Parts: sequence; C-alpha cells; structure tokens
Amino acid sequence: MHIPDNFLSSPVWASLDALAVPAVAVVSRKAQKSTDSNRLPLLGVMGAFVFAAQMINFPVGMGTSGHLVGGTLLACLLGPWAGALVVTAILVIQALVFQDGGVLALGANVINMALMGVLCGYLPALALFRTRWKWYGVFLGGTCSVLASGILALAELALSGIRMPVALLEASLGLFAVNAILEGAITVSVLRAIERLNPSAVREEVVRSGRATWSKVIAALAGVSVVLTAAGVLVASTLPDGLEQVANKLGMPFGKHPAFRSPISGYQINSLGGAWFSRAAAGLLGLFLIYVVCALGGHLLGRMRRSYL
Amino acid sequence: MRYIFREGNTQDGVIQQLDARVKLVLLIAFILSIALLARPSAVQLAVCLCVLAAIAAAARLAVIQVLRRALLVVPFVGFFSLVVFLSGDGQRAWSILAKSYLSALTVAIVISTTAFPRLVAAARFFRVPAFLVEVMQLIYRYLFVLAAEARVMQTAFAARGGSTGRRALEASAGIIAVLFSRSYEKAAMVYQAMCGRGFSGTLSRAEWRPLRVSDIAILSAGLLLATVVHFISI
Repeated sequence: MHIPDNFLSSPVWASLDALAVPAVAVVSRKAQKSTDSNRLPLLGVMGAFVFAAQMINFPVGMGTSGHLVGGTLLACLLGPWAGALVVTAILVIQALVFQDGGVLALGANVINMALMGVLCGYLPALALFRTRWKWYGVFLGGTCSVLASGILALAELALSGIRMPVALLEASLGLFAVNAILEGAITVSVLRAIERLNPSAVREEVVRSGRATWSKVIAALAGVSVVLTAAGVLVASTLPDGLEQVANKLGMPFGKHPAFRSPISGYQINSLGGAWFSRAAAGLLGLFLIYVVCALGGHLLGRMRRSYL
Repeated sequence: MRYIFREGNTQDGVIQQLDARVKLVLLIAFILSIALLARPSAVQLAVCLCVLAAIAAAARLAVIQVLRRALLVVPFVGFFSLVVFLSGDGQRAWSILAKSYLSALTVAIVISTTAFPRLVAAARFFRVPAFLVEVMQLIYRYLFVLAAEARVMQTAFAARGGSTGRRALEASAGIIAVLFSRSYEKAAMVYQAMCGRGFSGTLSRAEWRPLRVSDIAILSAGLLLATVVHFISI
C-alpha cells in the first residue's frame, strides 16, 4: 500500500503533501500535549515494537501469510493522536531506510495510512468499546483501517491518470479486503493476548478519551465522507472518460484534473518559456511556496495559542 | 524486513562530510528533478544514472553494490508499471520504472552516507515538529533491538515444532503480545535511564555550525546538476 515515487502526477502528490504537512503539525502538537514526560520513550519504543511485530508472519492457509499493519493496534494502545504520530514516523523511516514508499509520495502515504487509517480504525473501536461487542468493534476498526487506506491509495492512482482495467481493479480491491479482514483478526487476537498479560494497557487509553463528543462525531463524518469520495473517484475512473464526465455533470470547468486547479496550474509558468525550465521552476516554486505557507502558518498558530493561553 | 543499508559508510569521504542539511536539500531536489522529467529520453536517464554512480564513487561506496541494492524496489514497482503497461501506455510504464529506480538510488546513496539520526535532525532544522523528529530518532534506535528479539522468539517457536492452522495464528498473536510487554518494560527502563541522565521532557537539540565553503559549493553544483538534466534535449 506504500505508493512509490513517480506514480502520482505532480498536482496530486503536491496537493497531498500540502495537506499532510499542517495535519502532521497538528497531530504532533496534540500527541505531545496529551502526554506525560515518559511518553517520548514510550512512543519511540512502541514504534519500534510495531516494526518488529510486522515481521511476525500470520499463516492464513494455502501457503500464504499476512502480517500486522498496526494502525488500529497503536490507536488502541496509545490513543489516536499518538498512534497517528507513531505511524507517521514509521512511514518516514520506511521511505528513507527501507525504500518502502516514495519521498515525494510521503504526504499521500501519511494521509492514507497514518491519518485516515488510524482515524478509521480508532472510531469503530471506540464506539463499541464499552458495550458487549467490544471485540467486534476492534475487528471492525482493523478492517476499516486497511480498507480505507487501500481505497484512498487506489483513488489517488486513478486521479493521477493510471487507468486500471476493471478486472484488475476488482482483483486488487479483493486483495485489500482479504488483507483488511486479516488485519482485523490479528488486531483482535493481539489485543486480547495483551489484555491477558497486561490488563491496564488497553483499557486506559481507549477509555480515557472514551466519551462521545461532537468533535468525534464530526471526525467520523469527515472520515466516512473522504472514503466515500475516494470510492466515487475509483468508480468514476473505471467508466470511459469517467472523471471528465463527472466533472461535466457537476458543472465544473473541463480539465484533465478538475479538482486540482492551482495558481501554478498544470505546473508550468508560461512567461519563462521552454517546457523543461518552466516545469522544473514551477515544481521548485510550488515546493517553496508550500514550505513558506506551512512555516508561516505554524508560526502564527504558535503565536495565537500562546497569546490566549 | 530488509536490511538494505547495513554496510553503508557514514564516516569518511567527500559526501559523508557534507552538512546533513545540504544533503537533505539535495535529496529532495534530485528526487523532484527526476519526478518532473515528464517524458524522459534514454539519454536523460543515462545521464542521471551516471551522475548518481559518480556521486556514489565519490562517496567511496561500493558502486556496484549500491546499484544492486537499489534494484530491490524493482519487483514491487515493476508490478505497478505492468499495470500501466497493460492499460496501453508503454512509454509511460518504462519511464516510471526507470525513474523509480533512479529515485531509489538517490535515497540509497544519501542514507548509506548519512547517519539516520543526523538526517532527521536536519529535518528539524527545516521546522519539522521537534516531537516527531524525536520519536523518529528513538524508533530508529530501538528498531533493530526489538527486531532481533522478534526473530529470536520466532526461532524459539519454530524450534519447539511450530504449528499450523488456528494454533499458529494464536501462537503468532502470543508472540506479539509477549513482544509488546517486553517492549513496554523496556520503555519504562529507557525512561528511567534517561531521567538518570538529566532528561526533562525533550532531547537535546543538534547544534549546527555555519555552512563551510565546500558545503555551499557542493549545494550549488548539485542544484545546478538537477536543473541541467532538464536542458538535455536529445
């Protein structure tokens, strides 16, 4: 599910990076805030633990085996913010050290797996945690988490203009579904085993933030709508000229990627002339702009918070 | 888990002594430059490959080994390229495959010439949240310890005969649970040890000396190279 570099088109990865940067900043702030001082080593060791746990194979019969992904497990053990932060850190290490996933595609991978994956895994587990169906909730969480990441990744590829044959799309969705069910089952069995060994580990974190509040309802709605949109994109991409047709029907101006019109549209600056130079200049300029906006935003946010505290 | 970069050389050589911040900027610039080659000609790809191989040689890495290590991404990326190929865009499939290899090679060179904690400390310099950077450094520190522990437990399971079917699933879950509780204990011990060394909630920050002339020279040369590739029109 790790998207490598060069598969997403420039507008897609650039927008996702631009989205991911402030989101990671918020996640990092929240994760740090919700912590005691022993949290830093705990998060570090837990991240390493998930890495190691991913090495353990789960035989599923017929000679195949799957492994844990871990987003839901981390959310249940550490809470959603810390869970998302640790998954983000893992994704960066995987991209740089183990060459799983691209560097420019890091934003896409973080959104798919760290943000949406953990959100979609945590909310079902949380919703059912105090009821009799607790373990069904955890199972559902694991399943939804992997399924959501998979659908988002496929939708991003489709938006980048990679047209998959319908049969292949169905096959990969089926594969994701099998993986998702496996993830649910593994998460349940691991959490049960952990609860037997260390009863406080699971309960504490999930229950501490266990009240249903409006923000959680809104987060759930947002998560569901993002996944549904991605699924819609996926369905549209299988129809002939699907995306353009959808764009036309919705009355959007016709374009190759109608959703991603930007000031440096199509990543070319016309006045500079020469395709090679304008592409490179526009790309660098875009990256620089993203960086400036994020740095300024972070600075302002920090100042605002300080003044009203 | 693939230990790709175990035999990297992070000590001596021109590239090794380069400031980590410069290396991070050049890493992004090179990968960006490769990604923006829309319909690369064979000459452009060959030039990129030669430049990267030359950099690896300048870093005194075993060039062939580095080239071979970067090949590890090919099976995975190859599957996706096949999808693109099947959807009828042959040229794009080839360019994706070649560009992915070049990106992987760039990352491979940087990571085998730079200590990972130093690289993320450079990210901190560019305003990546401190907490994220610290978590990454700690994960990397304990990654190999816990991976070794997991491998020992797997070996122990296999040595006791292992099993198949439902029992194997339970056993694997048990291994992870035991791994968890050992990690949990380890975290508590690490915390105590850190407190003993004066830990007060954050790790000490990396200190950066100003860039040297050679750093600036290599930075500008690298940025120039990344742009020049786009000029080649053969």
